[in-house]
Formats: sequence, C-alpha cells, structure tokens
Amino acid sequence: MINPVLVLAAMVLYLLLLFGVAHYAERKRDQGKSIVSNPYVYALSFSVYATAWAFYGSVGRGATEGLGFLPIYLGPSLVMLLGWTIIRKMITISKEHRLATISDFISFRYGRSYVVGALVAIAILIVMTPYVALQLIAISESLTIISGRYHEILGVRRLIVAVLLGVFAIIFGTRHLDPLERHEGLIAAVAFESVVKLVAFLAAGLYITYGVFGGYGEIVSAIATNPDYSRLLDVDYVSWFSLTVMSSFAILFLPRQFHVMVVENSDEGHLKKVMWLFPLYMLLINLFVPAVAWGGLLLGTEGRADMFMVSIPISQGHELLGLLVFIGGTSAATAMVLVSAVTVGTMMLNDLEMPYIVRKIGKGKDLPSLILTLKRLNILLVLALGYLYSLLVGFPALVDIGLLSFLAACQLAPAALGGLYWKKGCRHGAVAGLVAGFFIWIYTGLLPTLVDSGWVSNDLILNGPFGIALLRPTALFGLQLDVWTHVFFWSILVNFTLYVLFSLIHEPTEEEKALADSFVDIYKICPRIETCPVLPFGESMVIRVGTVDELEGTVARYIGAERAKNVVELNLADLNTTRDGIDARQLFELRDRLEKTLTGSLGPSATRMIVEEEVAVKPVVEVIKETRPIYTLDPGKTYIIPEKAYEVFTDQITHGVEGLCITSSDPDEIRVRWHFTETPIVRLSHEKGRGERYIAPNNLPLLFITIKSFVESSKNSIILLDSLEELIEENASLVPESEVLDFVHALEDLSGKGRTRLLLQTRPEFVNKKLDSDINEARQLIFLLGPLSSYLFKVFAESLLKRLDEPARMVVMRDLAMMMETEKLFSGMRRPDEDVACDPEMGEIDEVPSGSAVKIDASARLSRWEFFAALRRLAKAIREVDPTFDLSDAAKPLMAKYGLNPIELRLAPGTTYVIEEDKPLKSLRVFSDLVGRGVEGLCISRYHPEKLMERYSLSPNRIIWLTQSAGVEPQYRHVETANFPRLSGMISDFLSKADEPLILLEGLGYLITQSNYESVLRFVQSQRDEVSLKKGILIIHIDPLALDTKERHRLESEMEILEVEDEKS
Amino acid sequence: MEQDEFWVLLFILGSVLLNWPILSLVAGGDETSRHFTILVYIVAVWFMIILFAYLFDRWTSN
Repeated sequence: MINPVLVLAAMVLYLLLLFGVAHYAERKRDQGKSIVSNPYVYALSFSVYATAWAFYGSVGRGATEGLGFLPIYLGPSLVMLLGWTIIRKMITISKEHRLATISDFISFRYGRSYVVGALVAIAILIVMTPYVALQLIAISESLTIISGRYHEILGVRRLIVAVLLGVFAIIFGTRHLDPLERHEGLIAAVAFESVVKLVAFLAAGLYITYGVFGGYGEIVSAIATNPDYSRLLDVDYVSWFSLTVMSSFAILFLPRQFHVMVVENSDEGHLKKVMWLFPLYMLLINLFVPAVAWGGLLLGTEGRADMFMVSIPISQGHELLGLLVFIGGTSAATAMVLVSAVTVGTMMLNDLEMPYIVRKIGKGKDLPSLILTLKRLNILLVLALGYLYSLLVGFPALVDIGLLSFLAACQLAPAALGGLYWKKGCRHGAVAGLVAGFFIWIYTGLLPTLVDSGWVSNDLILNGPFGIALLRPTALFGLQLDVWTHVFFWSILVNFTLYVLFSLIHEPTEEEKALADSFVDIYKICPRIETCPVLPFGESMVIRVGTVDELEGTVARYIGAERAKNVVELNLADLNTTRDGIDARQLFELRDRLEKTLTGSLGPSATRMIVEEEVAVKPVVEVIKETRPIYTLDPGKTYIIPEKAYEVFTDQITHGVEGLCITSSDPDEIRVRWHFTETPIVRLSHEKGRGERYIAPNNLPLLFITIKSFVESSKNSIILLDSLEELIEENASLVPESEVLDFVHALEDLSGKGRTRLLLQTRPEFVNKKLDSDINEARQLIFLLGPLSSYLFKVFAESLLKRLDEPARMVVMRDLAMMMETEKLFSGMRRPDEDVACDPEMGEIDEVPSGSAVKIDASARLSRWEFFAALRRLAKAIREVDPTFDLSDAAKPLMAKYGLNPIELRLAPGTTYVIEEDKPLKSLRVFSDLVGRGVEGLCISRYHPEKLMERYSLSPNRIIWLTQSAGVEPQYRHVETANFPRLSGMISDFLSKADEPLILLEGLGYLITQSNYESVLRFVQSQRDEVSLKKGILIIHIDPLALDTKERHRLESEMEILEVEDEKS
Repeated sequence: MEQDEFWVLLFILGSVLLNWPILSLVAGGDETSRHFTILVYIVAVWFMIILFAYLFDRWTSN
C-alpha cells in the first residue's frame, strides 16, 4: 500500500501537469507554432475512446467473458478504414455549416429542428451522467486499491477530481464563445493522456506477462487446461458480431468522438494517418488485456477483476508500477470527462437553452456574457450530476454503463447515416426513429441494469410487466439473446424501420430538401456557390454602406461587438471586398457566413429562430370575414392597381390569404385606416435603429430576402408594394440601375412561380402602357415601369461593349450617343419634354459619354419593340468596328437572365414574317411565348380556341377562329367562310388598340380552299401594308407542301422568312 | 483503384476475416492449439489490416 496522501498528491500533481501541457499548447498556438495541428496528435486524441471503462473494464470483461471484450475495439478499428468516406464527409459538412456537436449535426440536417436537437441532447445527457460517474468511481476505486480506504465520506476524492476537471474544462474548453474554435490546450492534454495510459497499460501488461508469468503461452495454456476458465477462449459469434457493429456506430456518433474527430480537425488529410494509427493504438492497448485478465484469475488476485491492472502489481509488491497504472487509469478517465463535459455542455446550450434564450430572454439584449456563463455552468452541471450519481449508485451497477452508452450512441446511427447518404430521410422519420429507439433502449437496456441497485424490481425482468412474458425486457417477444445483442437488435430494428417508414410517408419541407442536398451531395457542388442563395441580382453592382453594419449588429448581440467586428472584417477580407464596395453576391455570401458563425456559437435551432426573427416576416392570417371576397386574384400573377390597391389587398387578407404590406407610409396609419391587425408591414425607411419591420429603401437585397422568405414560408400569400415608383426613382441616384432592374425582375420572377400575388400600387403615368381597368395584370415589368427598359438597354449595351477594345468602344459609344439624339428609334431615351431635333448639335455635346460607362437619361423610356430595335441598331454600330460580332450570341446570357426570347432580336416592327412548316407548331409556340412575356397578340387560327387555350394558354379574346361552323359558342370570336372584309376589320381594330401588336395568321390553306389563291394573296398584301403602317408584327404560317412553287414565291415575296429553331435547341 | 474503393474493400475484408464463419474455421482445430490459433489469428489479421492501411497511405501520399 502507498500512503493515500502521497497518491492523492501524485494525482493532483498529474492533473496540474495536464494544466501545464494544455497551457503550453495554447501559448504555442498563440505564437503561431501549433503543436497540435498534426496527424499524430489528432490520432492520439481519437483515443479518448478508451476511457476508464476500457482501461479497467476490458480486463474485467476479459476475465468474465473471455475474448468477448475484443469486438469493442475491433469495430472502431475496422470502421476507421471508412474514415475517408464517412468521417471526412462529416468533417466537410460540419465545417461547411459550422456544426459543433452531434446533436447540431443531426438537427441541422433535419431542417434545423429544435425537436430533433433537444431529443438528442436530452438522451445524451441521460447517458453521459452515469458514464461520467463511472469515470469518477473508477478513479476512487483504483485509489482505494493502492492506498486503502481513506476519507471516502461523501466521495471526497471524487469531489476533488471533479472540481479539478471542472476548472480544467472551463479554462481550456470555454475560453472563447465559439465552440468551433479549436481547443488546442484541451486536445494537447487528451493526446498526452493517451500516451500516458498506453505506456501504463503496456508497462503493466509486460510486467504481468513476462515478469509474473513466463509469457503469453504459459498464461493461455494454463487457462485452456483449467476447466473453470477454458470457456474464456470460446467465442460467441452472435455477440461478437453485434458488439462489432455497435462499437463501430459508437465511435462515429459518441459526442466526445464527434468532437475530437470533427470539431478539432485542422486538416482533412490528417484522417489518412488516423486510419492506421488509431487501429494500431487499439491493438497495442489491448495486446495484454487477456494476459492481465487471465493472469489475475490464475493468480487468484483478490478484489474485482476490473481492477487487476492495479491489484496485481500491488499484490506483487510493485507499488510504483501500481501508481503508474493508477495514473494511466486516471488519464483515461479524465480525458473522457474533460471532452464529454465540454461537448455535452455545448449540446445543452445549443439545443436546449439557446432556443429558449433567443425566444424569451434575448429579445434586444446583448447576450455574449450570459451565453459564456451558461456554457461554463453546463460543464459544472455535467460534472456535478456525474459526481452525485456516483454517490447514489455503486460500481457494480455501473460496469455496464459503457456498453449502455454505446448502445445509446447507436440510436443516432439511422438518422445520422441516413442524413449523410439518403436524401429522402426527413425530420418525421428521424424523430420517430430516435424516440422509438431510445424508448426500447431504456426498456430493454437501462431497466435491467438498474435491478442490482434495487431501483427496478427483479420481477419485471423475470416475468415481464403485468406478468406478460412476451414483454420481458431481456427477452422481448421471446427472443433469447445475450442482453446487449438483444438491446441492439430490437432498438436498431425499430429505430431504422420507423426512420425509413416515416421518411417515405412524409414529404420533407423545401428547407429540408435543400439541406439534404447539401449533406448528401456535399462533394458534388462547390460549397462557396452552394451556400450562397440563388442570386437574383447582377453580380457587379455596389450596395450602399450600411447593409454590412446591419448584419454585424445582429451577430454582435449574440457573440459580442468586438468578435462580431473581427468576424465581419475577416470575412470581408476573405471575400476580397470592403464595407463600402461589397456587391450583392458578396453580401449574400457574407450573410450566409455570419449565419454559420451564429450556428457555430448558438446551434442551428437558435440560429434559425434568430434569422426568422431578424430578417423574415412571418405569414399570418387576419381574422377571416364570413362574406365572399370581392376580388379574385390568381397566385403567380402581378397586378398593377393605381387606385384600389389597399382595398384589394384588404379584401384578400381578410379572406384567408396571408399578406405582406411594403410601404413608405406610416404603418400605424395604414393599420388604422385599413384595419390590419396581424398582417406584417415593412416600412421602407432610412430610419436608424430599425428593427425587423424597417428596411432602408436602397437595401434592395435585404428587401428581397425578406419578401422571398415570406413567400417561401407561406402557401397562399399576397404582397402589396405601394411605393415601387418611389423605390425606383429614389434609388436612381443611390444604387446602380442594374440593381434596381434586377430587384424588379427577381420580384416578378418570385411571384411568377405561382407562390404569391404581387400587387403594385403606382401612378398610371409611371406605367409605359395605357391602363384600361382598375386591376391590370402585368407581365415583364422591366418594359412596363418607368425607366426600367432604358436601364435594361444600358445593361445590354455595357455588356456588348465590354468585348471591344477601348478605341473601338469609344467609337461605338459616340455612335450610340449620336443615334440617341438623331434617330427616331431612340426617341424613348430622350426626355419627353425636350426637342433635340431643334438643336441636334447641343444634344450631341450633352450626350457623348466622357467615361467608359453608357449614359442613359434617368427619365428615359423605351417600349419593348424600341428596346430590341435599339439593340439591333447598336449591334450594327458594333459590327462596323468588329465585323465578326454576332448579336444573338453576345446577348444570349442576358436574354436568358431577363427572360427574353432570342427571337425578339430578329422581329422588327412593321414587318410581316413567314414561318414555313407542315403544322403551325413552331408558329404557335413563338406566338404564345411572346404573349406570355407581355406582348399584345392576336391569333387567327383554324384551331378551336379551347384547344389553343389548353395547349398554349392563350386568352380567348385574343383568338379569332377561322371556321364555317354555325353554332360557335358566343364567348369565342370567329370569322365565317373567308369573310375577308370582316377579318380585315378585326385585325385593323386590334392594330389600332394595341400598343405593340403581334398577329399570328395560320390557316392560309383553309382560306385558299374557301375562296381562291388570288383573293388570299390580296388579303395578305393589304394586311402587310396595314401592319407596316401601324408598326405591328405579322407572322404568317405557310405549309410549303400546300402551295405550288409559284404560289409560294408570290406569297413569300411579300414577307420575310423567319427561321425558328426546334424547341429542344 | 480509387482511394475510397480501396478503403471500403479493406473494411469488408477485415469485417469478413474477423467474424463468423471465418473465425469458427480458425477456432476449429484441436483443443490445445485452437486457443493459441484464434488469438494469434486475430492479432495477425488486425496487424495486417493496419499494415495495408499504412502502406496505402504511404503510397497515396507519394
């Protein structure tokens, strides 16, 4: 026996040595000379897997179960070979989304679910408390063996250890708020402890095998020939297999393993070394376990078999070796306790406390110090619970806790592995699987272990609840297996089945789908692009100063002003931009990164709440009126309502539609006047200190994010924007025109996806089209509203000119300026009130650009046809300096971006075109596509209007049916048997009323059949002239096989051939 | 062979060699020798897996 005071002093000194090691590692890190960022320390940190339960418990299990202890180490060694596939993916995902714990990892995958995160955190806290208790008991038990019983009242020695470990964990585990910041001190200490426990184990093993006995052979022979022990060399293959799988899952999903594997990883490449170093460590630390276990049995060593490692050297008079083993065991225990306390503390904070704090306490407060204090208290709580538990329950009841905790970690496997590799896995499946798995784990695993402590009646185990034998916890439905295989089989079977079943039944939400993609396909996409939301805006515009400040302010409330500033500055530097010069894409990226910073510090659930609270406006339904709605508005459509916008909006929101009102007026006044109570109102204002309901009018990205999040979280919504005119005009001098243009286009695009109705209240003068009713359906706002079309021309012009060298560009820009002054085509780009024709010279001087940017008057207007005509004219000017220039190719990306049909580049007003094809499929497709984009069209067709409505979504009042049927329904316009005067009248009427008319005439063969070729030719010639005079576009379909060559040539001489590509191309 | 494929192959090989029925074949000798055989077999396979993993790591690192 060694003097207990000396042993205690040695232990305290050892713990102080750990402090020294950790402190040294932190200091080196601060100096930029990390001693931890290498594969060997990383591999050693994995050995936190080997706890006191492994150090002592393996020997105990070896002495009672024989080789049955080996699968617990073989499983992790084997699964480590999949490290490059599974663990690397976990690391990449966690670093990408800044996930700090296994509960964060799982809850984030399933839609940042609070329920999933809290469920996992609670289960892990329940499991870890006895496991921590086991470590404390193991230390005090081994202490008792080498020094006898001394001051065990209230577990004083355990208390000392717990307090020291608590202080250690707080100092080196919570120095910073960010749990993802690597804890080099902690990891250095864990790695150091891994070496100590291995050295101690090998020293004791060598001594017992070759010092006490004559080698392994002697021990095994003695055991094999001893009838009492020979069974120890037999293998139970079922148990062997289940333990292998169980321990494989455990190493992947135990919280402490996740922490050292994922959070503390500094380089994915280190994994490759771990894949052979960790199995080697496992092999070495188990090499002498059978020898020690069986040697202890053969020697008849007193006391528990678990303590043979200490008791054999002590009984042989080797007290120093006993002390070394004790220190080794203490190392194993403390490493586990330290890492577990930090990880479980973080889990409790992120998944249990933070969501509550954010929702209830944190509103408008600075929280960093509260969060840090809570994190420290959590660590102390974990240790305190472990200490108290160790006082309540004895060691015998705890020896199985190790396996029990492994089984609990296994319950995370279906949700975690499913989340990594199966996109259909959804939150409902994860919750169902986890709840059922943990329930069965408690019933079949935890309850039987509590019998020894008297907490559970033995009768329940022997006869089942209410005497129902089929429900016996250790033989459920009569299945007779060893206890651990039994728990494993039933819990994983039910967990996995429910996970799959519920995932197949329930459709995951859009957010879940996106997260599933980002998990499963993490290597298929570039994270930097993926994490950035689909950017609706252009890429090179400048956002005003202030947006970054707003984001920083939000983050600062939770992680502190100084750190928030550092994070923002670091990210800005990484994005190669500044606060002043950040563009929209970079702003989105920054927002995304700051959200991840919050996820790392507060957990996914709390971050989701913050993002929802700070940025989004939640869809709410007003009190529903019992009357029927007065107005019918279709989702997916945009309406311009000059006068009655609020009336229409109020009518919709009081009939079950979720509304969002965006205004520059006082929200309170609007509420009073229109009786909104719940519907959110966002005020466009430069007011400082604004909260969630105020957005600066020039902060278009934030405004768009707000609208988008509202639309995506509602199934039936309406948005009223009463100040788009002011927004466009005010931003003309504040942000680039392209940003305004992109905002409007993105807004319309968002509405067009069928998710919401967009109401725009604006003066009729601001709309470049005559409004003929109170509620006007609008398409392609970029041609309809104010100066947007000239902004669009500027964007195209700048893009096309970019490809020219400087002298050529200057020549074209001068030409462009001249054209804008002199050509009628560009009349829309001049101020309505100026008459440059009177003084063209002055106009030239004003408009010739001095810089490289294209100058467009802010009040300029271009109609749709004028826009394309201007583009063609510009292309002609460019071709004069660059003959190879092709407008279609050059404009293709922008045409696609703004939803324009490339064929419009070829359609000149006042022209009649002919499309040659057997059936008028291409003709109708082109026509319907252009009408769908806002062009006013008239279709004269042989097809029944119903068919055209169904196939091409054409409006019936824009169709004239060529038919000789008598009983045509009154709602369909039609012309009987080649009544050319009537048809001409209808066309003429349409040409007069429409701003920029497009006419499709198909059914020429029918007209010829009903009259004769000459009449039809005369009709076409007259229409051609009419269209030419009224600046319309006429497209005529001809079936080349229906006319002879002469007839076709005579017809085509009146028109231009329009080549239309196939749909696929 | 791709890296992932090698590691998966090694994992499968290890899992097969260190489980039933291969283990039962190894443990099927005469009463005295089988005790040594199974221990030596497990340690040898374990070690060989580590060796292969180490060599592959070296090879791919180079």
